[in-house]
Amino acid sequence: MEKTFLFLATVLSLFLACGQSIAGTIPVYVNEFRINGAPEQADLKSTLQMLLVSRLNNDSLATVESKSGGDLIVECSYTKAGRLFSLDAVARDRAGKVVARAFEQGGGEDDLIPAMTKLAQRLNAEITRRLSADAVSLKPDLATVPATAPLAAPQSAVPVHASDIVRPEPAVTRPANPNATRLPEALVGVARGRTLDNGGREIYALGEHALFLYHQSSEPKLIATITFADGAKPVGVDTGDMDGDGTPEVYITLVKGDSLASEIWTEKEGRLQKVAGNLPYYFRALALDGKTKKMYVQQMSTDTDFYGDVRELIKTVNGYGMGSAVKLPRFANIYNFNRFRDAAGKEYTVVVHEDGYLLVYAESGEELWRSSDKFGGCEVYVKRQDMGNTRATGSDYRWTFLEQRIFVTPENDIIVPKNQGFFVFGNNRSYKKNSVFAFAWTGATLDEKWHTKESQNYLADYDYDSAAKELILLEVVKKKGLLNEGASAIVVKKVE
Amino acid sequence: MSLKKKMLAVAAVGALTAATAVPAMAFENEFHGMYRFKGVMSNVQNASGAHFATISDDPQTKTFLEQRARLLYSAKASDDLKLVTHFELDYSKFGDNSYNVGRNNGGALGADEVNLETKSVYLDFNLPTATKINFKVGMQPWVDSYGGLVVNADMAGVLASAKYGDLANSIGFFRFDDDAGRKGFEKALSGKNTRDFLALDSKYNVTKDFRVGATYYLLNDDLNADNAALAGAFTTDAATTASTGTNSGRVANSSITHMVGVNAQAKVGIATIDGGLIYQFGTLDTPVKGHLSAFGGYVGSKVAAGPGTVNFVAAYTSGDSTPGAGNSNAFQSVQNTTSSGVSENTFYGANLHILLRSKYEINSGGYIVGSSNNKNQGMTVGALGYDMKFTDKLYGNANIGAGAVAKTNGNSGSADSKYLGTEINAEVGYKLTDNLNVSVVGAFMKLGNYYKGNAKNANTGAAIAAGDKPNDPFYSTVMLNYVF
Repeated sequence: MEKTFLFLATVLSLFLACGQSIAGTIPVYVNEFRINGAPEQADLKSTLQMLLVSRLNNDSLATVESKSGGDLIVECSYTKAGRLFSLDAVARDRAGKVVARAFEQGGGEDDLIPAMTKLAQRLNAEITRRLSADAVSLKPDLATVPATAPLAAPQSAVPVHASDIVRPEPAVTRPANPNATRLPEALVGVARGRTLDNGGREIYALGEHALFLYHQSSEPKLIATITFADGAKPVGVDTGDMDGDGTPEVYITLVKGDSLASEIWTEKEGRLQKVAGNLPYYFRALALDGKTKKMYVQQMSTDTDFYGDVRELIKTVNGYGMGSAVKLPRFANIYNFNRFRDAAGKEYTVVVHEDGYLLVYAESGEELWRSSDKFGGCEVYVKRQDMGNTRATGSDYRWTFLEQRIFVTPENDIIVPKNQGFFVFGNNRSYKKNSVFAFAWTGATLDEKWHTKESQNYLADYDYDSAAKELILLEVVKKKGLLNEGASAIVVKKVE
Repeated sequence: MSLKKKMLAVAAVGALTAATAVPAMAFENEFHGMYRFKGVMSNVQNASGAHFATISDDPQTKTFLEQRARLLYSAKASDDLKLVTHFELDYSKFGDNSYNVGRNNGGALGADEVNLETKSVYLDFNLPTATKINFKVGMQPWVDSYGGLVVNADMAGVLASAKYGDLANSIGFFRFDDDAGRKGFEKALSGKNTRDFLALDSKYNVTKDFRVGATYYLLNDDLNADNAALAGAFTTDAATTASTGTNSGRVANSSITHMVGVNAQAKVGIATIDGGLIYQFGTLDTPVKGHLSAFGGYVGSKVAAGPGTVNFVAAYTSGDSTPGAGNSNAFQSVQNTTSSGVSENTFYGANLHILLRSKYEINSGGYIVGSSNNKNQGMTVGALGYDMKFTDKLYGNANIGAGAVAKTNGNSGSADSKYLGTEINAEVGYKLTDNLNVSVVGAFMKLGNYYKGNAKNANTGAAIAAGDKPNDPFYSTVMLNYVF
């Protein structure tokens, strides 16, 4: 029985491998050459065409006789100038999109055939590279895993998927702005605004004393700035279009003395206008269960940093108020949690613990899973006088660090960053490098789907645009020092 | 089984239950700490570490350098179990001693002093119950709900606390002293001649901005039953008399002090107000057997004003004009019995540096009001200050505070006025990093009529003339503070 099974498995494997091979051969049609600068010869066009056709055939490409049978169409030209000649080729797909370009040149007729061979090799290499890249972008580990796959209900004998034994690789991310612009301050927060008419985006960047509105197309362009009053410490920025007018408001969490005095602003004709102020809330925009992004708030009491439930922010006749509460498990506060669902619709809460571990809770509040690695990590803190505990803490103040955002995508993937640093000790925090991770819930554990390449900078804050599949990363490229304000960069990475 | 023994047994069982119930977790090491350096110039402080200042005429100016470091290490086995330790290393002043054994020493050439002080060692765990009940068992920091008017110290005991929604309750039993084995008390039995403290504390958050609390504290003092007394023939031991009679601020032996109090904290508009009132009653055994009826209280407020904050604090403790006779109205703060004159209560509410113990104190020593009992004189203190940030890094504060004794008595010398004086001070600091500040503090106190004709010359020991007052005290320091 075992031998029969092995035999069948071997045959099946060979069949699949063969099928894969056949399926991987791309039909290519090579057009007649255009001749420029050379005497017209009746057979030159077809001769050159034949030379290239015979050299393009290989394991990946198969030349075809008719134009209609080719997935790729190669157009070529032969240009002669004096003794010199140039062979130029461009391969397009059916939609006309350029897949590959190549050229080769020579100094006389003796060079023509070797040049044609090299041209074929170049085209071959370029087409193969592009096809490989496309194939990588389609790898199940990265982007095309069906949304339901990781959300399957717990099973005791889940079939082993090939990707389960593949070590997670860095996500294929493409900097939308490869030359990230250096911003002149160690910023603390970032939030995305509208998409501009030219395809760019609004970026709100929060400094230690000011909020900056940038329009980012190729490079960030500063549009407006607001400065906060002396003694006010901004600790968070979020955006959301609560009034539905198409212009997202900017929600700034501000601490004045030992109290919250947060503000709401909006952009109008290139200027920022205050909508509301002195609000006793921490703000955070969350898309619970990967659904619509809403604004949530939590309060601070005289002796507790996070008081009461996290509640939805609602607009009232007189301003703003608190709506329905979100049930939170142990260790959760407005800054360190998000919520997702599995395929069966069961609800889970993911939390970054104060020690950095990622926790998953069931709806009942039971802790289901805890990571081994640490995630999150933020240098932004709220500092409140706490003389009653001086003897216990050694400090006249209580430091509460505000955790990094957790995003849940519409596919219910969980995105969480990881800051790391050599000097993270007590209330001293100095992170040096970061990476952003995506996980999916398997029913028993969070399984890594991808992570971004490690960056040698502290990630101060980030935003994720689930529609554009873009990570907007605010990295501190130079820490604030005794005599300098430091510097930051906004890096946009597309998760493909 | 006595109540005390039962409590200890329950705590021990709780500790074992928690220790065996927690799942295996990654071990977390948590460190915190501080370092402070001060260069001091003063005519009232002299690196003595004493709590009460000696105000004298012609006191001469002293200069000294001192430092203190504190290290907190927590070994966290799980979210519900950790061992907390807290150590201190400090010098009374640079150049004080080396190659020796002693706390607050080791600042002389060569160092190598054995001077590590253990402030806290305790187990902190939660019982795995539906409502988490937290236990702290061992030598631990504890402060009363009245800003430290009664006690603010490290103490050995068991503290259990739990939260039920907006209600928080705690109950603590602490053993301050046990005479058995101490010199002169060799015949005492462990657990018999003790000084114990029981604390019941409840707080209720009416709203997020309004909290009320109620407390009951019990201080039971059965100390000083010396060998002679235990032998059946009571004879006053000279040393014992000195420690209880002259240091009358300490609750005397075979005394029992009940303390009931209420406290509250509220945020009203731009102001945060807190305060409390505590009444003490019971029996004091020495120096004279009598009843105790005393009270104390404080109120503080912080008001956001302009670029800074206005701070106001007022505190009062009752005093007694004849502490050596009859009943007593002197507010009883907790003092130490194992070292001379060390108060274990500290009220840091007012940002003062001469009149009250400074929050920056290392071992400079010497404050006009060294404890809230204040040698049975009580105290009346009021202070007004303004804190502000000039820039993101530059900050400062200025304060004015006045003080008086509540009652003059035999410890007041020849004073015929209660007014101790008025202090003004200012601090300017610069934040080098988030955790490191450098600052300069200057303080001056204009002495009140309490001291008129009521002091001695520091050099000759001769009493000053009846109408004269001693030199006004001043204090200045350059300071470096690092916390992590």
